[in-house]
Formats: sequence, C-alpha cells, structure tokens
Amino acid sequence: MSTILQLLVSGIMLGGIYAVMSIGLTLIFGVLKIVNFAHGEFLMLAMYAAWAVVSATGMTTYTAMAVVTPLLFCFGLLVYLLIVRPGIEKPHLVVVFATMGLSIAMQNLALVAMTADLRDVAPLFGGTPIKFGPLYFRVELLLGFLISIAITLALMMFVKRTYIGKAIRATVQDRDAAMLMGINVPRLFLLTFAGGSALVGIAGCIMLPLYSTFPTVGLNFVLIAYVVVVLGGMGSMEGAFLGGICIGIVQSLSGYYVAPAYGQMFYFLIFLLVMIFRPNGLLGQRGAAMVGINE
Amino acid sequence: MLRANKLSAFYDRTQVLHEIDLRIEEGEIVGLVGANGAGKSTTLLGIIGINTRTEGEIWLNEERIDGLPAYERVRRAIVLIPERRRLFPFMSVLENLELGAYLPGPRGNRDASLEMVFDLLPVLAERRYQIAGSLSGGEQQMCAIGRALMSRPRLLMLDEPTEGLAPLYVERLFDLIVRLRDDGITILLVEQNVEHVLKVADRGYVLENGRIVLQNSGQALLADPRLKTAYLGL
Repeated sequence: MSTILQLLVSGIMLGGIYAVMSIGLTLIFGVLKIVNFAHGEFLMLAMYAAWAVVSATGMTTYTAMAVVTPLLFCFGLLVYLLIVRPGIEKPHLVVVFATMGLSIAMQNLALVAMTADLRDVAPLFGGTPIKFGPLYFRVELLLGFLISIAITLALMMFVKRTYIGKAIRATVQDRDAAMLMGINVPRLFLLTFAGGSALVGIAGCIMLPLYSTFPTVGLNFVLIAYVVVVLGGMGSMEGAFLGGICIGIVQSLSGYYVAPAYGQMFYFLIFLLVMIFRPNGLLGQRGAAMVGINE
Repeated sequence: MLRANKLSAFYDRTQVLHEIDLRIEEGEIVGLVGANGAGKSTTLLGIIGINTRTEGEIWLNEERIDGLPAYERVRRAIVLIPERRRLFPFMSVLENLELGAYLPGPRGNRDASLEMVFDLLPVLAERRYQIAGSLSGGEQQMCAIGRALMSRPRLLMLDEPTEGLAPLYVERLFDLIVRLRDDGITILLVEQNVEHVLKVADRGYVLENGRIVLQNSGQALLADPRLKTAYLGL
C-alpha cells in the first residue's frame, strides 16, 4: 500500500515539473497559434545557463533562477524578433520549419561549445531524502513541485485578474476583436513569446538538479511537453497542469510495475485514448487546435 | 470629423473599393447602404485598419490616420462593432465590457462607463456574470454595443447590427442609436435594412460594386427611385 502511495506522490510531483516545462509552450500556442519546435532547445539552454551560473558562483539552481529567467526572457525576445515574427503572417509551415531549423542549430552549437559531456550539479543536502510519514521525498523533486504549483497558480491569477491577462485571453479567443479593443496585439505576441520562454527558464532551473544536461537533452523532454499540452487541451494552462500530472503518474507507476523503458509507451497509449475520445484534450476548447491551422 | 479621400481597399490582389470619397461630420448619423458584396463592410474595415489593405487617405479631423495600425486608431476613439458582434465568447459579459475599456484613457473612467452602460442597457446588468457566448442574439448585440461604449467612442461604426435580431430588438436598437447620436457620438451605420437606416440617418451613401453611386440626406435617398436600381442592379 505504501509503495503505491509513494509512487502516486512521486508521480504527481514529477507531473508538476512536466507541467511547468509545458506551460510556456501552451501559452505561446494559445496566443500566437504557433508551435515552437525549438522549445526543447530553449530548455537545454536554460539548463546549461543554470549549470553555468551554479558552477561560476556556487549558488543553488533555485537562486540561479533570478539570472536564468530574465536571460531566457531576453532570448525569447530575440528569437521572436529575428525568427518567428518574419514568418507569423505567412503559411503555418514557415514558422514550423523556422523553429525546427533553430532547434537543430542550437543543438549543434551546444555540441560545439559544450561538447557532448553530461553536466550536472551536486545534490542539495548530500542527496538525503526527506521522510514524511511513510513517504520519502527527494528534496529537489519536492522543491521543484512546490515551485511549479506556485508558478501555475500565479500565472492563472495573472491571466484571470490583470488587464494584460485579460488581453491575453481576449487575443486567444478572437485576435481581430482584441485589436478592435485597442489591444496592441503585435506587442502582446512579443511579450507572450518572451514570457513563455522565461517560464522555460524556470523549468530549466528546477530540472537541472534532477537530470543532467547535454546538447540533446531537450529532445527527451519536448516530446513529453507536446503530449502534456495536447492532452490538457492546446492553449489551456489548467489543462497543461492536469496533463503534466497524468503523465507523471503514468510514468511513475509504469516505471515501477513494468519497466522504466516502457514509460513512453504507456503515456502515448493514454494520449491515443484521449485523442480518440476527447480530441480537444481534457480541458481544451473545441476547435482550439484548428484555429492555428486554418488561419 | 472623418474624411476618406479616394479610398480603395483590397483583399490580396482583388480590389473591392474603388476610390470612394466619404465625409462624416461631428454629431451625424451616416448610413452606408448597398447590396451584398458592394463593399460596405470593407469600407468600415478599411477605416479601422484591419483585415484589408487600403490605398488613399483617411483623415480624422486634422490627422492623417491611414498609416496607423488598428489599435492606434481605436486609441483615437474610432470604434467598430464588427459583423456578427465578435464578442469574446468564453468570457463573462462583465469581462467583455471591461475589455472595451482596455486603453488607459477609458480605463480611468471604467466604473462610470460601466454604470452608464448598465443604465442604458439594463439587460447587461442582469446578465453581467453570464458567459457571453450563451447570450441570445439580441443580448449579444447589446453586449457588443455596451463593450464599444465602454471605450467612450467619438465615432462609432456599426456593421449590420440588426442581423439576426427579432423585430422588437431592431426597433430598440435604432432608438438606441438615435439616443447615442443625441449624446454626441457620431455614427456610421452599415445596414442591409435600407428603410430603417435611411429613416434615422442624417445622410446616406449608396455603394454599388465598390463605388459610391448616390449620396444625399436620408429622406431624399429614400424617395430616390435610383436607390432601388442600385440595390437590385437593374
């Protein structure tokens, strides 16, 4: 009994981290109706940046967030202005291939600059887990989970309550009508893309202590991020959180009861089932995914 | 107040408007009528600067605005209520209204504007927490008008506001439009419902195939036999 409880709790925590890794992707999709195929490489960059800050200054990855998040925000600004914006009014595939090209370029630049060696940081408190009743928690996992909950809640509040948040939701629902309200939609696109990238910065800092980083580390996670985003409903932040938790639990359970290597098979099975029975995702608006393709 | 000189509009390479001249004076209701596909909606889209490419000049008082993006024109208190209303369907009525007051100027007057809108359109006060997409057609139109009024427009453009409305709502809508004009808002009204529009309009333009073929006072146009010709293409 305590084994399954432990697995569930670990799965939920892992899921929270998947959620924070995916939430930037879903935000960008919701507003701009584009998929950033270099999302995984943004994560790789964030993890390397966190590693560099930790190695150079000796601070923890959590305090390194204060540097990495603004850095990724700026990187997002730059990528949007140079690579995404020129293609945004063009047919959909232009942005797909532009970001795909960026992804390959970033992987190879990382390989040149950092070699293929794994880079990681020392665990907090010598890696001793915290005991809580019958359950054990890895400190980094617990911290990561708490931060991801805080980020998700803060983001939801932001989108529900503030005027910019409302402008974001308005743009998601009807871009032209948003423009007619006087919302500066092009600037909102820029800020959303940069903000979504900043969220990847946070994710990178949370994930570095749990996984090592290397040039193609993004590929391991970006697939999960796509599944999480589509599972939750493209463009839905609550959905991304729920989708993340689902995948985390599936991975945790199947890793123990079947074999870690089959984890992907199981969450893709779930993914297929959701796509068959709820094609708009768990919390998605009907047709949300089509909007991006049709317009 | 607003002048368009030799305004042409295009969708890709297709020209829809051919060098039309339009003049709207402060405090007028101007009706723009014509058959389907004559270019009425395109004229409004061209004036607000969205979804269509224009050539020619648009002047707002002493300022030339045709090079500005749509949100900058809205900032100058030109507001369009587009065809089929285009509310934010998954937001409440109140949130839709709040977004009408998105720009810094109107945002400062938000509470007063809200009171004014609820006073003018009590149905919105009743339904303020309802999701906009679940309103009836007439209520949605009221919500769209309320949302536009929240931004304190000086020039309000309405595109087919009576489309899909019950006759009772059509009457109320025209009463409301006259009332808004009396409160000092200049109105440019596009309608298929010719008789109704020209009755309330101070002046009217008739569009045919992207060109203005007739212009006169509303009453004079109604009496003009050429109006039917323009409409039926005879």
